[in-house]
Amino acid sequence: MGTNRQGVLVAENISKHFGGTQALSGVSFTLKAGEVHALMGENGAGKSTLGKILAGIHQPDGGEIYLDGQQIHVENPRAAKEKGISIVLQEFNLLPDLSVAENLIVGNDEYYKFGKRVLDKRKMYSHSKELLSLFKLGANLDVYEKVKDLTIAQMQILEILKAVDADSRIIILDEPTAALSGNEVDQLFEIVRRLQREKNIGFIIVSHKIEEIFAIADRVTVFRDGKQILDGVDLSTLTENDLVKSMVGREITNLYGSREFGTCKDNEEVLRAEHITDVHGRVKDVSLSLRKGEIVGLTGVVGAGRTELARCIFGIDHKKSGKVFIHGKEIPNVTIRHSIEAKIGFVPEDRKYDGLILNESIADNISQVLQNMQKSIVISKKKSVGEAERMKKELNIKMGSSYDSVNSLSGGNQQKVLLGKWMLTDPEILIIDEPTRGIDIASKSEIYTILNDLSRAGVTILMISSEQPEIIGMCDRILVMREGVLAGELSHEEVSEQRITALATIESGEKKNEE
Amino acid sequence: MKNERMNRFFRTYRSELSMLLVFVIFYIVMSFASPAFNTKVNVLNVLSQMSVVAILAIGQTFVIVSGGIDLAVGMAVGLSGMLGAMYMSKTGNLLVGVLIVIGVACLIGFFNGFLVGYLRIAAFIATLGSQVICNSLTYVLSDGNSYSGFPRMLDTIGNHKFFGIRFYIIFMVLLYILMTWVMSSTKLGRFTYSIGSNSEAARLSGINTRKYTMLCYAVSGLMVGLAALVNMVRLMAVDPTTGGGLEMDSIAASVIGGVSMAGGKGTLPGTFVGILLYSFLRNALNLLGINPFWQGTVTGVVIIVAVLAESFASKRNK
Repeated sequence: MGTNRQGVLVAENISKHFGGTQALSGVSFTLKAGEVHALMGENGAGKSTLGKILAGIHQPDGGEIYLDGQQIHVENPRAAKEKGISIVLQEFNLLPDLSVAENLIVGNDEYYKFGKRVLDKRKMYSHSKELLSLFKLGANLDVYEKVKDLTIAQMQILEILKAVDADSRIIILDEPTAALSGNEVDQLFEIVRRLQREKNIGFIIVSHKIEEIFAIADRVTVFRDGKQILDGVDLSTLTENDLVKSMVGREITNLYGSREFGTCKDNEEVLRAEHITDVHGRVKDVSLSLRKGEIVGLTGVVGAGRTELARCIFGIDHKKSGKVFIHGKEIPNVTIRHSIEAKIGFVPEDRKYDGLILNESIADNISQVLQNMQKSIVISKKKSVGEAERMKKELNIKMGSSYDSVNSLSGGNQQKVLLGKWMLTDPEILIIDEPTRGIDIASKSEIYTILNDLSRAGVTILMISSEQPEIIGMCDRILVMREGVLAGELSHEEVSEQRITALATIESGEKKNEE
Repeated sequence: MKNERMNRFFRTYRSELSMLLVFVIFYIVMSFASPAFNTKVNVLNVLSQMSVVAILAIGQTFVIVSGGIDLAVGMAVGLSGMLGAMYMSKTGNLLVGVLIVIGVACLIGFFNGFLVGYLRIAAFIATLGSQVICNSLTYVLSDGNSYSGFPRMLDTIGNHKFFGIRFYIIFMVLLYILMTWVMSSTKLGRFTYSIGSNSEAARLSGINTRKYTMLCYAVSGLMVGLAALVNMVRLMAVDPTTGGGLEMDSIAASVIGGVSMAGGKGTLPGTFVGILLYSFLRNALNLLGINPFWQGTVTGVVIIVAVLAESFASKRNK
C-alpha cells in the first residue's frame, strides 16, 4: 500500500483516543523536504498529540505513517530517532548537572574509548565546539557550562543541537516559544532557518501563536477538536484572521473587549509600594502606585525583575527594604497572609507548580485560600463545592464534577480555576502574572473579559505580561522594568510596541556596545 | 445522583478498597486453612498485638502524606514510655505519669517538626537523628534497667473489657475514626495533603506550610504518647529496647494501605486495612507453622507487591 501524498514524512488518517476523549479523528499531514510546517490549533485540538505520534511517544489507534514513501512504524522515541525524526518537548530532556558538551553526547558510544568504557573528553569537547561554531553559536553557549545554569532559550537550542547531532532530518518542536522572550524567539527562529537552509532539515512547529507562525513557517496544518480544518495550506495565501477563524471556529473581532482607558486617573490610591529592593538584587528601589479600578501593566524582558517585584509586594519573598501601603496604611510585616487580609490576590505565572495542586479536586483548589483564612478549623465540603459551582457559572469553566481533579481540565480552564480561587476572596487588588500563558485564544478572550469586568467593578489589577499586544490592549498604564529598576511609564495613549521595547532594552543594548 | 456518588466513592478509595478485598479474600482462605484462625480468641489476640503499631501508623500516615517520614516513632515510644514508667513506679501517681508520657512524646514530635518544617532539614535525616538521640537518652535515664510496678489503675482502666474486648483495642478503633475525620475535614488534614502534593502552591495560597508541617510531626508525637501508654498497659513493664523497629512496621502498614511515599496520597482507613493485612499475615504464618525465620521474607514480599500493584493500577488509571 502506498500513499498519494508527496512528501518526506506523511501521516494519513491518524486516530488516537485517550480514555473517553477522541484526541485525533482521521487527520492527515504532509511534511515536504526542508520546509517549516506549523501544526496549529487550540488547546486540546490534537496538535501536540500528532507531534508525539510522529516522534513515537504515543501510538496511534489507526492510520499510517510514511517516510520517503515507505510505510514505517515508530514504536518508541528511539525508533523515531533512528529514522531521523527528533522531538524537542516543552519539558526538556536534559541532565541538569552535566555540562553542555556532556549533554550533547549522552547515549552516543562514539565518545568512549578503551572498549567503550571511558569517556574521551578531548573528543567530546572538540566535537561540541565544532558543532557550536558550525552554527555560529559559540557566543551563545559554553560547552563547559552546566545545563542547570543555562537560560531556557539556551536549553532549547541545546536540545535542537542534540537532534542535529543525531543526524535528524525532521525536528519537531513542541510549543518552542512558550517560555521565551521576544529576543530569544528571534534567535531561535534564526537557528531554525539556518538549519533549514544549510542542512535541509524539515521542521514541524507545534504552536498556537499566530504571529510567530507567520514569521517562521511555510505551510500550516490546523486541527480543531481532533479534526482536520486545514491540511498543509501555504501561509502566504492566508491572513491572520483566516487562521484564527480556522482554529477557533468563529471570528474573534475584539480580543481585548471594549475598555475605556484612563478613566481611573483621579480615583483614590489603593496600593503604594515604596523603594522595594529584594534580597537577590533583582529588584532595585522600585516604587509604584495603583489607583482603584485601574489595570496597570508591568512588563520588560524576562529577568527584568517583574515577577520578583510582585512577589515582594505580596510577601512571597522577603524584601531587603521598602514599604507597602494599602489605602495609605502601611502593612507592617508583609507576609502572604497579611496581604490576603489586606484584600490583595496573587495569581502566579506557573499554574502547574505555583498556582494549583493538580491532583486535588477542583473544589478543594478553588476554595483553598478561603479555607485557610476561615476561623473554624473544620472544613465544609458542601461550602467548597458550592463555591466551585458558583465560579463555574461565573467564569464559564468547562468541567464535569467539582470533585474531579484539576488535572482533568484543559490549560484554559485550569487558569480559570486559578483565577476563581482568588476571585472568591473578593480582592480589591489582583496581581496577575502572565494571565494567558499557554492557553488558547477562546479562553484568552474570556479571561480578558473577566479582567475588564473586575476592573469595572472597582478591582485594581496589576498585570505582569511578556506579551506586548496583551499589555497594550488591556492596560491604562504600562510600567516597564529593566534590570531591576523601573525604566519608565507609558499611558495607554502613548504606548506602542516600539516604545516598550525601547524602554525595556535600550540601556542594556548600549552597555553591550560599549564593551 | 446516588450512582454518581457511588462511582466517586469507588474512584476515590480505589486502592483502599482493593486492599480491603485482598484482606477479605486472605481472611476467608485462612479460615479454611487453619481452624484456629477465625476464632474470637485469635482475632482479639491479633488486634491486641497490632494496637501499638496501629496507633503509630496514624501519625506516620500524617507525616508521609505531608511528604516526609518519621523514623523516630519507635525509639520515642521507648523514651516517653521509660520516663513515664520510671515516674509511676516510683511515685505511683498515674495521672502525672500519663501526662509525662504524652508530654514527652509530643515534645519529641514538635522537635522533629521544627527541624523539618522550620529548619528545612530532610525528614529522613532529622528523624533519624532524633531516633538515635531518643534511644541513647532511654539508656542514659534508665541505666539499662527495665521498670515495672505501675499503679493498679492503669491496668484496671486499660485492660477493662467491654463485651469481652479490651479497652485499648476499642480506643485504637475510636482513634482511627476520630483521626480519619481530622484528616478529611479539618484544615490540618486537608492542608497536609496540599503540602504533600505541592507545598509551593499551598504556600502561595497563604497556607503557613511550616506550621502545618510541624503539626504533622506533632500529631505523630501525640500518637507516640498514646501508643506508649497502650504498650505499658499491654506489657506492664518498660525496658530500654521497647519500641525498637516499630517505626518500620508503621511505615510498612501505611505503605501497604496505599499511602504514597511521594506524599499527597493515602488515607487512614487505608492504613488501617494495611495494618490488618500486615498483622493477620504474620499471625497466619505462625498458625501454619511456618519457620519464624521465613516470616520476614513473606512480609517483605507483601510490602513490595503492594507497592507494585498500586503503581501499576495508578499508571493504568492515567
